[in-house]
Amino acid sequence: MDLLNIEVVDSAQNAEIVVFRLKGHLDAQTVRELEGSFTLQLQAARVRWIVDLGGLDYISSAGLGSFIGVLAELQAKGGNIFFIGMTPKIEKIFKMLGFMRIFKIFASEAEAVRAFKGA
Amino acid sequence: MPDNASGILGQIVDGPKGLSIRTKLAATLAGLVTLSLALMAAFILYECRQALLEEAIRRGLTVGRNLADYSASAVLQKDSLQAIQFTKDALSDDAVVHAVLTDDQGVVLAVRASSGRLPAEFGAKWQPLQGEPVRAEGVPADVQVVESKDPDSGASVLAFDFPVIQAGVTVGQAYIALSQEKIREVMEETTLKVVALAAVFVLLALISAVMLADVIVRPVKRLTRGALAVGGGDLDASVEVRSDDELGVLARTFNAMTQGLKRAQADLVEKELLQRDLSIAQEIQQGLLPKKIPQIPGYELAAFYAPAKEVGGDLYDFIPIDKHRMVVAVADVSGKSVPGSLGMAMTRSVLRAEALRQGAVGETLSRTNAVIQPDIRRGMFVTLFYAMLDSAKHTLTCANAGHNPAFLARHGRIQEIAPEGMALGLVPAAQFFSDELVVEIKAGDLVALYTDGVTEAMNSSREEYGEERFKAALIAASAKPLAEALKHVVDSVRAFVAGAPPNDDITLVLLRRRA
Repeated sequence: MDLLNIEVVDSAQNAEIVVFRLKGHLDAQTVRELEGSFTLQLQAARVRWIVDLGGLDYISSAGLGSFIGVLAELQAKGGNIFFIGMTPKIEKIFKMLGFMRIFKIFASEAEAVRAFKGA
Repeated sequence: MPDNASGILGQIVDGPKGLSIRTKLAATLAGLVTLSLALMAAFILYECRQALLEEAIRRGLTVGRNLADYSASAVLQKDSLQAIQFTKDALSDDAVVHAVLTDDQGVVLAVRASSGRLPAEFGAKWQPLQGEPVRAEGVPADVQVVESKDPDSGASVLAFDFPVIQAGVTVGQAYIALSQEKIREVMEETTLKVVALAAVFVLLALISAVMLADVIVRPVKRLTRGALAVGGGDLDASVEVRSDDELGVLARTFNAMTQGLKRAQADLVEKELLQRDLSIAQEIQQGLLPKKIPQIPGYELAAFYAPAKEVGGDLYDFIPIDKHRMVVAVADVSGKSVPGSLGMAMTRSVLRAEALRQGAVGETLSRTNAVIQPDIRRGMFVTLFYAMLDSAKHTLTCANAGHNPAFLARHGRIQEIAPEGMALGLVPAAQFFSDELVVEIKAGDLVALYTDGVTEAMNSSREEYGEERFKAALIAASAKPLAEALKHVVDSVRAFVAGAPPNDDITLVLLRRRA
């Protein structure tokens, strides 16, 4: 059984920003847990998210879909998802699907936090 | 609940048909206690009687010996008056029933009885009392002791027969009879006490057996009630655990079993639901795939599709536009199972309608996205490689909605066909973007359209088949007849995964311009 480990923390640089650190296997099964975490943050009216994909060894299309599914609501509430920890493989998938035109990608958490400040 | 099940449960509710544990336990314990008490009582009574008998024999020996010793000269002289005096003395012991002295001919010299009624007359021949000889310690060889009856009262007596010896010569006999009434009375009294005591013990044993049975039976009854509840379908039923003994362990085991059953049932229900969803999805999916491969003059087409266990939502389609033009499309939906299949069905219908409007290829994808995006399930998207072949001009006009690039094998080399574009369903029409690319197809060219189920097929070591192996297989297959070429590539993937179960659908479409 492939597992997904989700760590949800306040950003050290800005406590208004939520950081999701994902480790393991994000597929059609484990994505339900991630969607659960997303719902909890939305209910707490926290809409500025940084998602760290650095620990993932696999991401399925259903996993990618979970980010699309939540993006419109975040943006409507003045929030967004910024990605960090891109691996070459995930970056290739992002480029192929056209995610690069939808999501912003940063090299570090600090850069992503700065981008939220500017927004 | 089925009838036979309620029948069985009904029988259990009625309680045991045979003897209850309480009865069995009480009977067994009472029986054992009674038997052991009876044995013990018999032993005690026997010992008691033996002790009393020995005591009586000792008494008789003393009295008899005295009578024989003291009366010796009187007997020798046949002096009845003096002899009577000795028999009187012997009667001073109140257990002595009678005392008799005879001469050496057995003729009665003196006789005395406690009742006053003499057992024999003076001068008559004495008939010694007959009976069972008694053997006991301390009885001299010349003395006889028998258990007998008093001829006067009929009461049981111990009869003693002593020789009367004067100067080493037996001159007569001394007889006394000792009443055993005392012994009988003491024995009766003792027996009564022992039996009463035994009865009390048997009663106590019965009471403790019933209480003990209750201690065992109560948790068993609780377990029975629990089992009935579970049998009736209540998998939340549990049995209170009140002890740490074997029955406590049984109750705990029962509770664990019930929970296990509940989990197993929930798993089964979930599994069945999933299985049903999968078969529905598979039915939808199969309905979407082309029933046959269309014929295109100067070209060959072949397609392979293998569903994963969880239907991954792959699709390929052939859409004839006019006499020379034919669309070949390969798509993959991000959702699985029934929602994925429905998303794919919607996409296919819209794509077919838009393809026939004969606009630019990139525009067909934009319009398809514009129609499906508002309706598609949130978070679901479709990647699609769309290629329109013009068999008259020998061109392939391609657009790509976030899908893997197509590969063109020509003269032993692979060329990627990768127009840029976003997956369908991600963004509204205003943000959507899809490029288009026209590729010239030469004689002998082989074009492969596929889904990521091919390139991401994994072996048991979790390595991916990958683009490089795929390209090499395509090059190796490019000279073969198309059916064989398709088989060669599929075999290459299968050999790589070596039996590992596929985690995604595998779709491969090959198109070749005849040489």
